[in-house]
Amino acid sequence: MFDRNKDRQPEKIDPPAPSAPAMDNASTAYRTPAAATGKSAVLGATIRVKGEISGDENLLIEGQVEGSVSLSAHELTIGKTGKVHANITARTIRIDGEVHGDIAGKEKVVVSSTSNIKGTIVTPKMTLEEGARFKGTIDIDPAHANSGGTGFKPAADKPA
Amino acid sequence: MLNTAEQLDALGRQTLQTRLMPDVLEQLAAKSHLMVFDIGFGVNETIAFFGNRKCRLHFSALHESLRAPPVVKSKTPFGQLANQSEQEAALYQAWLERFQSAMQFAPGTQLDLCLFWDFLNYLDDQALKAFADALAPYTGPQTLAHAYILLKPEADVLNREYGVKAADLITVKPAQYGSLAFYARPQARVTSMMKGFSVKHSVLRRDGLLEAALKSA
Repeated sequence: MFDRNKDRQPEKIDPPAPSAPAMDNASTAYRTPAAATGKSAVLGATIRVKGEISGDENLLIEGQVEGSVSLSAHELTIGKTGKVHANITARTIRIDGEVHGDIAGKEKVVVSSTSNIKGTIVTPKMTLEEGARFKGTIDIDPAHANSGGTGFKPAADKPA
Repeated sequence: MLNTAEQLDALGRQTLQTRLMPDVLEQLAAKSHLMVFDIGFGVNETIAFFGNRKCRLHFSALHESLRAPPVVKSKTPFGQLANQSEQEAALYQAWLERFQSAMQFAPGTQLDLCLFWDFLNYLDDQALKAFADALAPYTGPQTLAHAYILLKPEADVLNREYGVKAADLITVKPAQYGSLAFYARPQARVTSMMKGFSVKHSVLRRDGLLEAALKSA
């Protein structure tokens, strides 16, 4: 008559971020890329990477990256503690932390008030949040928003 | 003095009505790729305003380069009178190099619009000439500009950051330029030092600033 468990949510086990190595005998859930679950892989605040990062899922960078980051079809977020000294490319990019390098957002770039950017931004749509101040160059071409990003190249000149 | 449409909000932000900017922007409406040089920081209003058209926006935050003005050491031996014109030339050269390094546009860049805002008021004569000369390679016969010129030494209309909210509305926010020296000058004196620019229209605002629309000669 009464279901004592009616208000309980079913237990949900989140798969770990795919940056963690998958064991050979791990379940398929452990191999699911973060993008498939709508989540982001996380590069934690104490992680430092020198080199090229690329992938097919969303990524949140809270650590330090020196090199390049390419997530052509996915979202890239540079968190508040993130320090990226690299050219970055992604479908959408949100910057809350530090980026020194050229930034190519194929759909959109969002810059928050906590960001610190030195470089050129190339994107069809750019949003600077209230309170944010930007020094540098922005190339905006709204026509590229529906073009699938072909011919999308960072500006050649240095930031003013 | 502010009119009713130009009151400050709780955060000290203000919206100025502009009678000259609509005409400036109208002249640039047909440009397929707009090249804009904003002397200040990029703010959300300016980026949102220009963001619906193909453009390249350069935000230079040049006020920052004024915080430690160049110092020129005299080459005159101790005990002799310094040559003032030599010192002025050296100071001009130092400013020129500073502005050139801050304006590293791609070779061949031709700016369509320069948003000087109130920056010219923070430059002494030598710095103003040097700024104009550093900018000259990137301006052409079609380059337009907008500026607020300080005619009287009234600091309460300075220390502000500007943005374009709409063709006829300029946003103003408190800035951090309070420690910078400023120079009030008549319009003619300013334009005499702005190589290649002439004032097309100007309007004296009620707050004492002269709003000016300039065109590259």
